[in-house]
Formats: sequence, C-alpha cells, structure tokens
Amino acid sequence: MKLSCIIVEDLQVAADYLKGCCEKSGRIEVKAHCTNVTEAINFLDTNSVDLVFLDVEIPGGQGFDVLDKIAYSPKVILTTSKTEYAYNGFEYNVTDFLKKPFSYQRFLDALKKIEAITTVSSNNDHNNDDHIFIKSDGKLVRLKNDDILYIESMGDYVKFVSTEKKYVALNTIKNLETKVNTRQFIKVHRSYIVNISKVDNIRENTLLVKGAEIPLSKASKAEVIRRFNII
Amino acid sequence: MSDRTTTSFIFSDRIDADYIFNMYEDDYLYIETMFKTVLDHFDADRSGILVNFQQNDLELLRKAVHKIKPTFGFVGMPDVLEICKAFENKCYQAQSTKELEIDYKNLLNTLEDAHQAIINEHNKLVSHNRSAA
Repeated sequence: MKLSCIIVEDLQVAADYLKGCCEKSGRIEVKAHCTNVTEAINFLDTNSVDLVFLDVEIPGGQGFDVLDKIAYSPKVILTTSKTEYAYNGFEYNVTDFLKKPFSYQRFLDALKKIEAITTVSSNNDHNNDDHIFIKSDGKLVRLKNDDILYIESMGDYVKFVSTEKKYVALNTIKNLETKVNTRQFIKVHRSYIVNISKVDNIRENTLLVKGAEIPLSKASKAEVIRRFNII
Repeated sequence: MSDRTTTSFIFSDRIDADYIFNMYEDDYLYIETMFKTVLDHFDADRSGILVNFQQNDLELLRKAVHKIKPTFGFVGMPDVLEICKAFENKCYQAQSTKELEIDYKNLLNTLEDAHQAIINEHNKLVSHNRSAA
C-alpha cells in the first residue's frame, strides 16, 4: 500500500522535484502541496497523512510550527538547504533530513527509513504492556493502564488522570503517543490521549471521560470513530 | 518524471553536468521541465531580494536569498548556490544592508548571469527534445 504524504515547500522547483521523486518511486501518494505554515496546519487539521516532507524556512513561521500545532504525529522528513536545522530535527523526532537539492537515490534512502519504521510499528503495534512507569514527585510510580482515564498536556509536563489520583510528570503528549499501549489509548487532540475503554460518550467535538470533557480534534475524529465499537 | 530520451545532450560549461545527471539521470524532458519551472519563478524569487534590500530588512533579505539558493542546485549551478549561501551568512553578521552593498551588487550580477545561462540552456533543451521526439 502506498504511503500518503504532503509536501510543505515554498520553492516551486523543489516541490515539483520532490513530487516527481514520489511519483517515480510508485510508493508515495502526494495528497497536497502547501507553501506556508497556515496552509499546512489547515490541511493537516482535517486530513491525516503518513508522511510530511517539511521545509523549515517557510512563510508564516518555521516548518516546526506545523508539527507543534497538529493533533497527531505523522512521520517527517526535513527538506532544507541548511544543515543547521538537523539538531532541531532530532528534537522533533524526524526520520531523515534531505539537504536540497538531493539526488533521487538519496530520496529512496530516506524512503526506506520511513518504510522500515512503518513496518516495525505495524508489526509490533507498539507497547502491549498493561502498565506504565512514570517519574512523578521524584519516584517511579507504576500505573495500570486500566486505571488511567486520560493524559493531558501541560506544556513541558503531562498530567496522568487516573480513577484515584492525578500525577504530573515531565513528558510530552507527542512522546507518549508512541510509548503507551496503542490498543488501549488514542491521541484525540494535540493535548490529550484518552483510554478508549473509559470514554462514556462522544459528541460533535468532545469526548466525555468519567465526567471530564476532552476536546476531539477534526484530524483525529475519523480515527477515533473507527476505533470505537459503533454499531 | 517523463519517459527517458535516449539521445545524449551536451550541457554548456556553465552547467555542472554531473550534478544534473545525479538528480535527473538522462531524462532530458524532465530536465527541460525543471528548467522551465525555475525560469517561471525566477523573477518573483529575485524580487524578494531586491525589495528587502531596498527596505533595509536584513532578516527578510536573508530569507529571500535562502529561498532562491537551492534553485541553482536544481539547474546544475552549485557555484551560484554557494555564492548565495555565503551572502546568506553575511546577512547574519551585518547590522544593516548598507554593509552588504558590494556583496549585494555582486550577488545581483551573479543572479543575472545565472538567469541568462538558465534561459540559454532551456532553449537548447527545448530544441534537443523537439528534434529527439
């Protein structure tokens, strides 16, 4: 199956070249080409893709702003002519860095990395443990998945809300998204991960989890609906 | 990318043929398309440099040069790409665009020279591809 992607790039010739590489590979479908931060966020708010080819210096801010503002975490390949951005790329967990202009072979190498990660994650279906350990108040606390209602972002920290207690830990939703048991938890908004079994009802843009109203982003809605047993 | 043509094309000395082959191999129709895309957007991308220099906006000037810089890689002119990169770095160090006047004039001359070379190469590619069709 082809991977879906968007190209975020303000230089037309670079976008065209990248699109040509995707077509030639026969392994990626380009869903959109966005030339600035706002366009990219708007597209990703309502569409989900497997991969983002992301230029860093684009009108309206930095490419990283797009990653900060979208509700889910697609794979990312940075495409820039400036190697200085590689460090930031690591912080955002990007898969590869293509320095413009790059050869088709280099493009294929990057694509292989993406495909390897995608295969591994679909084979493992992430972490299947029934518990997690979090570092809170200077100690490691064991939390059973069944006890967690939801996880909420608080800037550089996250709040684990359980049936009994709330725990604050230094972490991010983006990082936890891949660490929690993905059969049991789902990211529903850029600031929230919920325990699927604890959701009492779903409204237009809200989930009710044991009395707490959790926002549901447009981009996550289709996946959330798919994951719930709606008959 | 298009179906490959099989006849060879000789690039002018101004173009780094190895660089071009590394990206497009010998797909001359595709190379022609890419040169055309560069030409279609050249004036708009260059005007970003002109406007921001005149407005003494160093950060936007740097961004405009940063934007146009990889263009020259796509047409086999890594030397021009490097000149843009050097100018971009000078923008970080300068306090005002006045300090960059000489470099700026040199950059504009380089861009103009590159623009003409891209036009010439594109014309050659068009002729080549028509005769190969």
